Amino acid sequence: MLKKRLIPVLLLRDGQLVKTTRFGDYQVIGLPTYQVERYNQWAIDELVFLDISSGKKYDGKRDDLRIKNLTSVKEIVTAISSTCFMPLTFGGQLRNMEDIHGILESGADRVTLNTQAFHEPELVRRSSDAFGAQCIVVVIDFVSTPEGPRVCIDRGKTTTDRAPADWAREMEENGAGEIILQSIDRDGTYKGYDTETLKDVCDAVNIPVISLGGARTAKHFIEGINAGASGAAAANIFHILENADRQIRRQMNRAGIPLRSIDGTIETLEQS
Amino acid sequence: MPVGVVDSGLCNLFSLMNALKVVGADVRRLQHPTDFDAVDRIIIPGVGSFAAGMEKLQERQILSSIQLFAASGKLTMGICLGMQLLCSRGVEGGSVEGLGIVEADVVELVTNDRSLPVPHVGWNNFSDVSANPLLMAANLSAEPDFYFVHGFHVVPRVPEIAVSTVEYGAPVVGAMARDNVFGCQFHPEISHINGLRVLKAFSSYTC
Repeated sequence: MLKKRLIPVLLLRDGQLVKTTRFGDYQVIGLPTYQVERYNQWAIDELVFLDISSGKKYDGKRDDLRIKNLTSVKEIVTAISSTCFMPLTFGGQLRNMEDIHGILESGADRVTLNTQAFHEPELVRRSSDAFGAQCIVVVIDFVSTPEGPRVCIDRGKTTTDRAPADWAREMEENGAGEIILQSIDRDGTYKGYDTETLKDVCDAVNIPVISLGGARTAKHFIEGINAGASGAAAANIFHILENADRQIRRQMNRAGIPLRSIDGTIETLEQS
Repeated sequence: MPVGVVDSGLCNLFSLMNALKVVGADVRRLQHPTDFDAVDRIIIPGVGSFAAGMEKLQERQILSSIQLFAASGKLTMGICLGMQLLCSRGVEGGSVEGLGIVEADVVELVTNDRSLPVPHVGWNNFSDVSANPLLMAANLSAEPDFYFVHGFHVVPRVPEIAVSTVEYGAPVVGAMARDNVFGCQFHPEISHINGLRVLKAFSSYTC
């Protein structure tokens, strides 16, 4: 049977790994390529990297900055994918087919689209047709407003008038293969997922939905899965809390959530 | 025993070539028909749509190289889309003829179950791999999990194709075998230790 997935989300800002709270308050954690082999040892199921670098808000006049950043980001993708034998999803700042192709070429298995998908839904369609829907993951950031949850773009700077469930449906229609639903309000607060909005989005689409924003304890991850998510993600804990991966995994197993069995490390292969 | 990886320009070969190197294989990139002479086994990787995949192979003019290689009895393995391209026909991107090496169709995965989203994404396990000599040779753990990410699946036309299935509502073909031709619907290069075991087995397998 298909297992649920435990997914660390690693945030890259100008080449460094950072931790955030409500999309602000950046704290540098380290370098993404430092001990890349560690990722293989984590008891997790998939890696997601999001590039949230500064100064890369799309501006035609500063294309040189964007290209330079993209080049170094591709190097990071290549370094990670060459030693990490599990799925790698990479995104952030991707604007066109060339960007997407470049990231896939560098070794990522899937890419994420967010702001650009909002400005240009046809890009989702085109990339889905060219690379396969399963390669295209749409990230939906949202905040709570008096009118209900609303989709945000530009790394939280702009609040739109779209509801996440509705937007998720439109993205599915345009060929998105998966949704990552991220609560900006919950980001870094360790208060658990916004399971109400999560459930609405899961009910609205037939593609997998990954929950992100606010998770810290096993209880939070379990709540996310029970709300209908196919995977539970967290951006701010795996690098920081020792053994978070194994502890959370054990408790999820005990709660009856099917996870892939972790057996053997890559090193043991040499002996087999 | 050099392993050739078909490079159609559609997807990245990075993870796969690295994984093969890690398990000790001598890996070559296959871009032209003559490249096929230097290897004794080939892998057709694949990410993307069926139609785009076939188009790329056609562009590179290596369609017949692959067909001849398989027909000559040499080890041939397709991964994910690559496994699907081995088949007679696919429907993704229009009804398109495949390589025709394995008599099967590639059709849309439909679950009709809200709790089973499509594409089929994530780790799923085989309960029985005894039909597949390659998977048997890989010394896999019990009920081994592999990473799947696909929205279309293989439906064989003839009983000679040995299939190993995973459960996703109904059984879905996760791997297939017929003589010298193998297919993995999962991605061995990103399926951690069990995936590497499969690649290691392929690199040293003898029919």
